Amino acid sequence: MLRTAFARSSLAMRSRVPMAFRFYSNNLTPDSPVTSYGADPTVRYTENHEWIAVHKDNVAFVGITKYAADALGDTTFVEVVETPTETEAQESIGSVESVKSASDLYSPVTGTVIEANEELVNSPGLVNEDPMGKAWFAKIQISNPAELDQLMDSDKYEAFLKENDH
Amino acid sequence: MFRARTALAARLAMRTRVVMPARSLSTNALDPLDTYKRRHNGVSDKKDIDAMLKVANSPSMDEFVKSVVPEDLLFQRPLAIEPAKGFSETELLARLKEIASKNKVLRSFIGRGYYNTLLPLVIQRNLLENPQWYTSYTPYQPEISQGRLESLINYQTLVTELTGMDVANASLLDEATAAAEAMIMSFVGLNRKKPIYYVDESVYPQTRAVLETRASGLGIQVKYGLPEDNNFEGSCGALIQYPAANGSIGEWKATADAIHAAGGTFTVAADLMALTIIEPPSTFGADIVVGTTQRFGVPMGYGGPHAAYFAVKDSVKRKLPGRIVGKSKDRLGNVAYRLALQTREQHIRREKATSNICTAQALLANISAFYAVYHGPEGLRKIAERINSLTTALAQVISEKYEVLNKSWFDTLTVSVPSADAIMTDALSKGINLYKIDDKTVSVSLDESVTTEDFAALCELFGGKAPEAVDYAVSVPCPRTSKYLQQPVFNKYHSETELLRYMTQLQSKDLSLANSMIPLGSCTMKLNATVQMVPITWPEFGNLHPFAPLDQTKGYQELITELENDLADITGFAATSLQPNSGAQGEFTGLQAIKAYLKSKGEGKRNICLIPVSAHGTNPASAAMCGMKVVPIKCTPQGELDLTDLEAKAEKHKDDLAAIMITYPSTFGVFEPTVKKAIDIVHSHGGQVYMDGANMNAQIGLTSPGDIGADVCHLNLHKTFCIPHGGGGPGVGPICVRSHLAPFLPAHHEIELPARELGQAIEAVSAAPWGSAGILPIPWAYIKLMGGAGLKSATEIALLSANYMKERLANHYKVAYVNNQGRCAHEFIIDLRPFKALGVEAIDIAKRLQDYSFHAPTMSWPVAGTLMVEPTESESLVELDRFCDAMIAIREEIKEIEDGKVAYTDSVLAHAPHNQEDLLLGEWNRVYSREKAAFPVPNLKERKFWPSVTRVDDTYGDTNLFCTCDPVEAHADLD
Repeated sequence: MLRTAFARSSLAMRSRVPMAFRFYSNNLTPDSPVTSYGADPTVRYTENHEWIAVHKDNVAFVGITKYAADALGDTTFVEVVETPTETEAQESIGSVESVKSASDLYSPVTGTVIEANEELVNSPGLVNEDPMGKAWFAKIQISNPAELDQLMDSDKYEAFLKENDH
Repeated sequence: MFRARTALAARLAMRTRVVMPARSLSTNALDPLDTYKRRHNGVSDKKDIDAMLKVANSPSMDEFVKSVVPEDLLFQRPLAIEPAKGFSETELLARLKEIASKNKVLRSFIGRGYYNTLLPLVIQRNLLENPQWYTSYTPYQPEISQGRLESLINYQTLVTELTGMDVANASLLDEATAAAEAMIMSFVGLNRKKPIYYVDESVYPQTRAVLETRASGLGIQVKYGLPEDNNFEGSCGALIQYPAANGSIGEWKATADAIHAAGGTFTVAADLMALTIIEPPSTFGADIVVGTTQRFGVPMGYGGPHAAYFAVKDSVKRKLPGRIVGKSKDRLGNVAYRLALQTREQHIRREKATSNICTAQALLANISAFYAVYHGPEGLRKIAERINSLTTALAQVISEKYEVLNKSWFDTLTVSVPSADAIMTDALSKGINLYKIDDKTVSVSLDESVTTEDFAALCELFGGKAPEAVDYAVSVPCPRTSKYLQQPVFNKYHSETELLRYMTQLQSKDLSLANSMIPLGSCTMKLNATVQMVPITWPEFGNLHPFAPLDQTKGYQELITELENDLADITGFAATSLQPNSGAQGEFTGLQAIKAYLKSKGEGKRNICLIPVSAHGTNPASAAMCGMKVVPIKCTPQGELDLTDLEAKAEKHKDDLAAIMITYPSTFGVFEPTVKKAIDIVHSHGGQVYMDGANMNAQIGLTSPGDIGADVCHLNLHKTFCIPHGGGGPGVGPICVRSHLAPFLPAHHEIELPARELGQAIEAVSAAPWGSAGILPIPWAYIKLMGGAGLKSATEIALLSANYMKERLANHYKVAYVNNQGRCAHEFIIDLRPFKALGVEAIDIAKRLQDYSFHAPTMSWPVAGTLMVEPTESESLVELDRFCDAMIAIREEIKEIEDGKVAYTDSVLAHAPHNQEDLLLGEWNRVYSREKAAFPVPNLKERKFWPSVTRVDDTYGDTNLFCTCDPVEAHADLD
């Protein structure tokens, strides 16, 4: 019946929210579970504001970017998938809710989710504290590394954010 | 003059008729003076209009309108509404009496989900007929909504207590759509991998029809009847009715176990009244329980509106569709209620949403909640025991001559008779309606309204004699053993004095249109006039069963036909369906009609729906529910549809294009000049055009969806046509269609609707044939009171009021979107993002407005960090100025932060709103005075509305979800 009074700051939407994104670093947190798994992972980004960090053994960590975490505001609920789960690129492998928004987290790649971050379920606030480190959502054994070529690197992602910031 | 007409031919005839223009001032002393238009429009004085035009820099209303609405859209046809100049209030009531007298109110024992009920008059007068309850909005601003939020918590508690489930929502539209939500939750819960859904034959046919409609878009296969071997493999779940449609009370434990063994979800549609004396569905393994609370005090109203309920186990509470009221705390740590988990569904998830439910039936849920508060557990049990005892006694009488087919019952007996028609005819002669199941079977359902005389008449009808007295004797196979409703609220307001004071205490916490304007953009909070509300509680409108024979409801038929014709005229279309119970449901219905039409042309593979990124989230959600694939269309930085992108997408998908959904004026509140071009592009690529009617208040009498070139639109009768918002429902969302779509409007299994005759109707979208028929007298009355010219004048005043406010506020705030002449439509967006660097956000200004005794405009929609203001035509110049003055004063408060005089965290904005406790208790050590907090402008000393709590903590509420009222008197410490 009604038009509601909520921010449409979905991850999947071209968010109109933060003007201040330029001050964020959408890079992995040093000395986090993601970086300590192996040296120099390849980091890529999606238009839905997910990041993926792929290690040499084709194990990848997936989460949401700092930009996205800020757009969400205080995270109140996180859902992750049971493991192991086969996933295709663009399939939902979790969801994240805040008082402003609720979104699915989509797998950037095809593969098998071999581990999910259960700690997030108990402490959703981690998404805001450390979105690109402790708040990884899923660990995926990727099956088609070529898919990474379709994703953005850090520079392209920053440019993408600028372009979509009205 | 008032003859009912058939849609299309009549409309063509009306178009060609010359209609006399309305007279604003009568010179004939015989003309009545109690005219309505001047009471409806807040500004009708020429002096005021001229002053507003001057501020808006326009020489005349005509010139002004031309600067707002693109000239090629302005139509020249006068609306064909009769009477053209509108009825006076007295004339209107006389005409309504005449219509009402054509409805025959017989004693209904039809049942089938709709029962007579005794609405306590203290609730009728002080809630249903009380503008403080019915004119408030959905409680998105919890600090000024604690009254109805508490009542809705009572409602949720009522539902969880009686069903035995853990969490309930704050109501859905009707039982059938609630069942559909349960089916979809079952399907989606298993990742859409098991498409079969079993519906037991115990389930009402009206529910089954809606399930089929909703299943079709998602690829769910509805199977009627449970599998014989109880093997549910491959299915996502099943639905049963408890007690069953035939009256019997089934034993369902084995079924539940079998469903669970196959991984499915077990849903029970249960009668809450029965649950006061039979075991609740939680005891035999229900995962979801749905139903209606209609018989808890809500009149049948020829089908609605009533509140449906939906309850689940704790483990799936975050998947619950619809609104949920939860408990949180305010800045001072006090208990405060709020709408919880508001972000899960279509608002944000758009085409990923699994439901487009965007509303509730708050007013009706509140009636049912107070009904339970007033009767308490003992009273409710007594009512149910009486119904059951009388049913048992009736069964004994009937059994002497006929066979009662169901061996157990709560309130319904299915009886085998030699000739159903003979006994139905006999019943009619006694003023009684039964339900005919087939040629040799009828059913009779009792309720709390049954009198000694009714009972005697029923006994006589079945050839027996009523006993002198009937003992209270509960006769059910599984009597309820558990206690319920032990919470204090259900046990202390049983005298009328106490209840009246409780209701008054709650209503005093809620800001409604009885307090001040509610300038919510896209919500159209206009006057809900008393004269429009009066008829809905007349027995001739309130006490009719939706399945009553058509020859007993001729008054309704006449009113419905006139309303359908008037709405079709207003929208420039050929036919109307009043069945959808909300705007979102209208969207779904309109898209289903488009799909059926395309299929009939052999173009069933067309399944792409184009939707601008600026659209309301229900649009993509509705398209997804129809099985359409959503392709977003970009908007330009000015907020207009990007025609280049549209052209490219339409071309790319030309073989599969089904439709576009557009809102007009746009969700940004602007009449886009390119709308016709956009429509042409879609038509030329084989698509249909759906127009979202949310902003119809800017169009009436000036242009119309049909004249602009659309094929179908929905209307929000609760926005544009005066049905009150009810504190969060009811809503009514009819659709109007061009003639080629008319055969595809929804049908109904029980009542032959015109669309069905044409043989191509889609299945029902609501349980009742005309949806919420009981409140259709409201829009009918509005249209008849205003007349064609009056409706046009309301649109003009709405546009002028918005532009007047925009001009006043543009000196102080950034206004985000306007057309090339600097005009907004009926609403405008104030951009607050520039203040974010100071720490000041839209929510601070929204909360501070409460200190000024105003409800905030729509916050952060359609653009985050903004407020969207819609004054409507019903506000006076004084009220428009009062709001502008408040906004300007708040701008000064922001400036203090800008100038470095105050830190944001110390500011009056950061602490807003201020309730009395905040100002009076404890030491005052803020950097601003108490007076500045509570009385920042002088007029507040005369007229102040106090928020009852301070700012409510959203994060706490969503992290610690608690959705029922406290079991003990004292509130637990939240920390």
